[in-house]
Amino acid sequence: MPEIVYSKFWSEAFEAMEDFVFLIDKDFNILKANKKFLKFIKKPKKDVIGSKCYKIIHGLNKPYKYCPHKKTLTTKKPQTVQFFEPYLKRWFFLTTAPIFDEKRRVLGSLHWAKDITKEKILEQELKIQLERFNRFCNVMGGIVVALDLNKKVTFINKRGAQLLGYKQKDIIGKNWFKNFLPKRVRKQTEKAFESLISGEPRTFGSYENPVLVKDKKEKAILWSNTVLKDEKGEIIGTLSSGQDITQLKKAEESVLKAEQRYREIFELAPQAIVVLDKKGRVIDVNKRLYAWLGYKPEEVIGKSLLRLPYLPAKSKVKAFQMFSQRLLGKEILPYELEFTTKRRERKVGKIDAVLVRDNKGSILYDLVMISNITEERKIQEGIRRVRQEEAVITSLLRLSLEEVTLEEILDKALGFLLSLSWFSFENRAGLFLVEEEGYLTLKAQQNLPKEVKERCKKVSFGECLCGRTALTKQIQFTTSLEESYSLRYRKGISQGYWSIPILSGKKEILGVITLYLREKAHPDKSQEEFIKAFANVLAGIIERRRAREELEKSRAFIKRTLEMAQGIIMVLDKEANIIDVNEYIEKLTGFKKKYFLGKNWISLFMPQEKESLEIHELFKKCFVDRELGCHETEFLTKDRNKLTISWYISGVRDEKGSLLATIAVGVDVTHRKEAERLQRLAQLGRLVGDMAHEVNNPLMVVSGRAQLSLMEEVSPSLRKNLEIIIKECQRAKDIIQRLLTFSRPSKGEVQKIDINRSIEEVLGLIEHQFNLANIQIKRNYAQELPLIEADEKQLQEVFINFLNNSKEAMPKGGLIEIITKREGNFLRIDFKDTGQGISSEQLEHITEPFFTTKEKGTGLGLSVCEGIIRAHKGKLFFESKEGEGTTATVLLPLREGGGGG
Amino acid sequence: MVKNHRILVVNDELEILKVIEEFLTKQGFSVLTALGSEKALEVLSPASNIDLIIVDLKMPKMGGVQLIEEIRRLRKDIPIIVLTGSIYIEKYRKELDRLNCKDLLLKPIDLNLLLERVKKRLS
Repeated sequence: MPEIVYSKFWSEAFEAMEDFVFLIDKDFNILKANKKFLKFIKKPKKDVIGSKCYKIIHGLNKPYKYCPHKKTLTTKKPQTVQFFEPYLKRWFFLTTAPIFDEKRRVLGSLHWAKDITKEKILEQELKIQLERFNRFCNVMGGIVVALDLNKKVTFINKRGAQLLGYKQKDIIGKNWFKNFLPKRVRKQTEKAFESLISGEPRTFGSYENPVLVKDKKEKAILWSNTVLKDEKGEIIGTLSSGQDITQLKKAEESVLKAEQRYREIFELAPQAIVVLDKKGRVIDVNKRLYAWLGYKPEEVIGKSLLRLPYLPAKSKVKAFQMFSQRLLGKEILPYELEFTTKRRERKVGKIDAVLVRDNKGSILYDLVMISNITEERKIQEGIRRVRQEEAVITSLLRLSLEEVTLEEILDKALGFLLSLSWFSFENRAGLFLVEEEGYLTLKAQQNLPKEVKERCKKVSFGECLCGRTALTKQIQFTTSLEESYSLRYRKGISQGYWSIPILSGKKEILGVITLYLREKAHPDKSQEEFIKAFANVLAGIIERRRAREELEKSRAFIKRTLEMAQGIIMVLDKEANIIDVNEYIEKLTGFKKKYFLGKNWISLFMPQEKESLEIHELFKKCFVDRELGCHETEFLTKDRNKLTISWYISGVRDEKGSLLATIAVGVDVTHRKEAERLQRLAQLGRLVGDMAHEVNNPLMVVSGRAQLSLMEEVSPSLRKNLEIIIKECQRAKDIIQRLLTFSRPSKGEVQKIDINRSIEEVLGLIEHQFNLANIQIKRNYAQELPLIEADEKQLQEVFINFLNNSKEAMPKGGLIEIITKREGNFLRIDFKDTGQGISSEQLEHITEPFFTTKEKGTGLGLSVCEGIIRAHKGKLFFESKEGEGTTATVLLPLREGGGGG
Repeated sequence: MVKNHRILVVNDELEILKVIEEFLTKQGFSVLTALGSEKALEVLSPASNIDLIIVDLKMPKMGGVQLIEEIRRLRKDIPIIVLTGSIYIEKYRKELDRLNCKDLLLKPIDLNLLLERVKKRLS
């Protein structure tokens, strides 16, 4: 064949090819492609020819991984491959063949591709359907038969073949009606088959038709049929599936048996079982329910949940709520419900319910299983009860430690008691105490009716229920207060009254608690135990309280006694610091109690060191030798009265002898001291009086003789001597006379006087003389001072005395300031000089008779003054600083007896 | 004049008696002395014509006041001048007033003052 012809033939054949044909050189360049290919690629020739094949066909920049071209080039053999090109989304059937040059060198390859996408899809779909069908048919429990229009079997599943007693291949291709159906149904079924394949509209349903099996026996099959159509929608045959009813019937039997078993379980189950329909009506109950709650099935079946006699109202609601929740498909955890038996006993059940549905999801019934947990609950409740009871007792004890009155405790105790829920309390109670022998007094109550409160204010022992309890000391219980009780309360209502005695440790009746119980309630043994324990605790509290009250009373008594005591009672620590003191000290000293607290006893009462040492010794004695120390000290009151306090100091020790504190009892002995002083003065006065008398007699003789001698003719010198004798006798007489004044027991002539005017009178007499001695007098009088009752002459004598003393203290002159003012209930008069002053030691003795600092003094002046002021119930004291001056102060009471002294 | 007036001086001290006796005698009185109350009561009788008595208050056994009470029983109106060495004259004043003794002189006395009182009482 000439080359040209050859090439032209190929060229035309090439273009005429139905499939895609193209040439690729060994560098993957497309050298030539037919029109079909170009059309398929939808690209102009120029873009395809010369381009890399992987770019055009696979959309890649490098050769395709599974490229058959490569293999063709290397193997130099044709290749056939089916592949799915994702770039073009097509399936291809490709054959490649190598192209050689004359020296059998490979130049490239010829590609011959066929688009097989459509076939591929069909094939895959078929595969899937077939798989599905086979799986379906083989797995199905029944028989599946496909017939063609000629009534021949085109398919039977494995199970179906087994059912008929043949192998699949023995059945396929055979006339179904002739071979596998009993004669008597053959006509009828063939008619049905024909009507089925004729496409008549009909209702599909199930038909029970027997089949003929290999051993000529019949099997009851429940059929359902459909037609098979081809892709054009034309009927090509039928497909029937059948269920072996023989087995179904057997199954029915076993189901029946199962129901019996179920019934047995239903009846023997440890739980009570109630079956409800979807409206909540009872369909069935087991006998357990009857045994448990006492309701026969016929009393329950047919009733709605809300009308069940064994459910108390609260439970009905809850049961219905839970049922509704189940209906809504909510998962319900087991829950508890209260039940009431026919005998009205309370029971507790745990509910475990399940809603039973059929395979279509419709509700069949609600299965309710009830476990009796009454006992369990009782035990739990018992534990809770014990805990709460303990809590009540604990609260009560805690309360007793608080600072509350016994009344409050009793009140709260009742509250605690009534808070215990398991007691059938009616929330009414009364608590009595024995405050008077033979009588109960109502001390606390909760919700007692008014008439009861009135009636039971006071109940005598033996009277009524509470009185009987008190008398017998035994718990009393009654369900009604009949004739024998004086109290009527809600007559006719059967009610519990529970009365419990509160007994002391010595079994003495302290009181009674009476509780109102709900109808028919009767306390059990454990409740009685508890109430006894409660009463005992209460008894303990009452006893302790009473003991404490006694103690407080006696403490108060001791305190009052201490306060009333006419003596200082001080508690000192070991260093003699004042820890406590009674209030008497305020009355005595005018200083507040707190002035003393914390201060040291020694530095307060014994400021001088010498005495301090002495007192330390004394304290030591108290501490170590348990001896009673006694000491007298002086103390200046706020009103500047000098007190003399006699102290008795003793150690307070515990039974082991350890020192707890030191008690210093101070008795005000100022008056005794004063009395002693006055007595001494009186003695002195008597002595002076006696002495005066004894001295006056010889003076009388001396003076008389001298006077007689003077009546005679005597020499002038003798006359002078006699005159001196007479004069000195007179002076001696005067001195003795003055002793009279300081021991004078009472005021003389008393009248109302204006103190400023009285002082002025005195000044009128002496001022000129004082001015001559270079002494100025400064008046500082308060105006409108009240008049005082006094012996003016005596007071003036006192003032003259002060003025003369001041004058003598100021030999070079100075200033005397006279101040009058009112000070409380006193009139105060100060005579303040700028003289030399006197020492504090001398100051102490200044008013003692015959004490004098002056060369010429008699030492009687100020003692006389003191006598006068004392007679006026006033006070006289002096303050002096050596080198600075002295102040003499007189305090006179404004009213008779006012201020006292 | 004061002549013939008889004055009784009672005192338990002889020297005092002597001084007063001497003085009053010099003044022209007839003076009787009694050393103590008992002596005085011996001398004193309703019949004795004594015109004035000078009594000392403080005497042993029977004191001045008691003596004066006795005197008053005998001679209700006789003037009595009381002498005392005691400083407690106030103590006796009321009682002496009751016994109608207005003159109380404190020893040592001014003799001229005594004379003045005597003359006054006898006038």
